Amino acid sequence: MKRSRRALIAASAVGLVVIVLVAVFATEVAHPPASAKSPLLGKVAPAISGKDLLTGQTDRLAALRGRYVLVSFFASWCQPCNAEVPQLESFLFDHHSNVAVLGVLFDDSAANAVRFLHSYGASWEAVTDPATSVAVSYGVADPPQSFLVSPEGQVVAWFPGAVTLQSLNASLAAEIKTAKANA
Amino acid sequence: MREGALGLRAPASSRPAPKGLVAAARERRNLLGIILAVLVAAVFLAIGSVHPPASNAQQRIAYLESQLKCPSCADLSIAQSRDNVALALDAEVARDVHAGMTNAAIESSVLRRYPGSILVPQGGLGVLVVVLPLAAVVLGAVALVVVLWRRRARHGLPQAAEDDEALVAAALRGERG
Repeated sequence: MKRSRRALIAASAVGLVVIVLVAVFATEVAHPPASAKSPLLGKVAPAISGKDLLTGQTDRLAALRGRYVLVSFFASWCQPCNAEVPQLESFLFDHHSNVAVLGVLFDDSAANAVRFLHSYGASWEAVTDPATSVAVSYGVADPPQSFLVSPEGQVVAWFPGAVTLQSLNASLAAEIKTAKANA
Repeated sequence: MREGALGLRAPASSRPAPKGLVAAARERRNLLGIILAVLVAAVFLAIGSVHPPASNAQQRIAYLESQLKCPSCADLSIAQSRDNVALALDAEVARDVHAGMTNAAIESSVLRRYPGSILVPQGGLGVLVVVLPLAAVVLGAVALVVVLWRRRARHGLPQAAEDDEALVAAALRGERG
């Protein structure tokens, strides 16, 4: 009798542990995949204003209204950023009439960034973010990350990681199609 | 004649209780005391873990900075990290607190941009952080009750002293007589 009661208690304990583990793993929040949506999507893009790395003048995102703007967070030490610069150049070349690129330096020195941009012949505006406040307002923790902002100033696409010309073209085409359908 | 535990000769208030009953009563008191202490500790732990301890601005900032995870670090709060993103979030939290935002609104604002940036995760393994201590307290209390209960049952009811038995016998004789 005593032995059967002990067995019952042991079985109950094991069952309890199994139930707890199942509950734990069933409620585990998965890490968002690369294709997950940014919470900024559909929202007004946070303001960007900073000193241009190449000209020293103040650049503002608001000044680029009326065009699609690819806001690109980058750093010279970031390998994927090096890989994506030629893609950005091609994208800008293909859509120069209605697209602008605005780079935001992330956790890097201005001198390194200037060398980086010159080495690739990058022609777009790029600003410093000394307090990392712009990056934080966009929820950026690591570069590269890019956000496509519509001519009306809304975030319409998010690119975690390095962009490719193909992904940029696809997103832009989809956005233009949607905008035309809504017009 | 000495007074017995069964209260046949004298009012209960003036009689010394037999050792067995005194021990049983003390054991019951001890058990109640332990259960009460465990419950009080559990209540304080629960209150302490749910409510932020702070009310003034500096304390609120310190509390929030200890709760928010540095998005670009491994398991460090923004208070612990000197990373640029953490420093920027430090500044933002301070600004928002001084602007009159509530703790919930500030946490929610950060969470919108950096999902999963609360140090205690909202689900999965994070549940264990909350559930395990509570479960341990509850199981400990239950185990304590069971052990004390069993010990009491093993010892059984206190044996009547010879004096008591004599008193009972005398009383029974008196009733019959």
